Amino acid sequence: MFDFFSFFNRIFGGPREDTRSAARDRLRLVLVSDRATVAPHLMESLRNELIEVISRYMEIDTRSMQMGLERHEGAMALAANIPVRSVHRSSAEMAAVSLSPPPPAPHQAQPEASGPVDPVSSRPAETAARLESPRLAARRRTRRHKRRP
Amino acid sequence: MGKVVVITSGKGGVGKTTCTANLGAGLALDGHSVLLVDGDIGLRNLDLIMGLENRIVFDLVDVVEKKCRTFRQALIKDKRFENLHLLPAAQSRDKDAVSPEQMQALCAELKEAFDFVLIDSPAGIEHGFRNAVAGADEAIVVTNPEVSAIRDADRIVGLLEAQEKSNPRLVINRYKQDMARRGQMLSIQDVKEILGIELLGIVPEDEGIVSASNKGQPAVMDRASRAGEAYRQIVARLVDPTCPPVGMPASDSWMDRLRRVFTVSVGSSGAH
Repeated sequence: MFDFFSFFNRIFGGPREDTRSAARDRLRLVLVSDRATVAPHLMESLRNELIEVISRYMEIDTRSMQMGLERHEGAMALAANIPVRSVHRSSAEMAAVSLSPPPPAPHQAQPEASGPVDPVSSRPAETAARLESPRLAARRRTRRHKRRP
Repeated sequence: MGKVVVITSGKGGVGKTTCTANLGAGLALDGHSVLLVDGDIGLRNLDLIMGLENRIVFDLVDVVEKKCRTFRQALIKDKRFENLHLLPAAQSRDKDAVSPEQMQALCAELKEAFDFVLIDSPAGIEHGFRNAVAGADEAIVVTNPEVSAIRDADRIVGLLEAQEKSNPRLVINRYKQDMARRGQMLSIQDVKEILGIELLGIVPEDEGIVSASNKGQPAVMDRASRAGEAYRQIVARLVDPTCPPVGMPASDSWMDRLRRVFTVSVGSSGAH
């Protein structure tokens, strides 16, 4: 149907701002942080599960670990700053050597990740290189890895 | 056995009470036995919207406190429909005069006697809301296509899911198609995507809703009302979930207006 109002508006009023997409974008952002803050146990259990998964591969400093939602260029990002003390030698070698994919662990979060690490045999070597803590920002569309200076 | 449906929204003023009144009257028009329960203790309004405000003797709190013999003694029978009743809220009491457990027990009793028990929830997420949803089998979330109403609706959906009131359905009220077309209001698709729940119906903005509430006569009884037509569609979907998905509300073009002028009102046909 021909819309007279927008026709006259275009002629006399000029192009009007599209407030609809502003509403949509603002709502999407605010609901991400609303849902996360409304359920504090959500972030807590996400943090614990992340620690569990990462600890299979490397020793991390859970005390100084920081995690939270941040606003980045019009999108919400889950930003985590996880200091790494060392990488388990066995898991590094397993990932490098293994030709066939290892059997998945029952509680594995990511199917493409390598297999479980035996906590006894995977003690971190004292000589392991100290890694700088990577800043992992899992974003909706892009994934960005920053390194702390 | 019937079912208990709670009508809720989080934000106030989005049209919960109007929606409850219209769905109740619509279901009664369709031949179902219906009980409307005003869950807004201390701020009752459903009686006024239904035009039944002068006939209240007992209320919800009296029933829970067993001040009347049975719940039936507190029900107000609607004069226009044989099969429509109202259980009013107490006006002079506090919301915590009733507990969620008491509401659960009452709802279990009420749905034995009616096809549909519609509970008009108060705004907010506190005690009154918890009471209103406690005994409900299903939930309808009413919202407006505005940021604040949608944000609150999202919170309500989260709370309903946490209470295992699964699959709440959405009614978008006061939708202005003309504004959405000009990019000045969230579209139906936007709201659906943001909230991510099943859409039960769209009620267009309609001045007739105010006139209807002035008279205490739900718009669903008026064949010429656009909002009334939307409520009749929602009623059809409530009764038969396999009903085709909701369409856009009828346009407000001059052709449609002309058509409605020649449509006979059914508002008085049910009255006696």
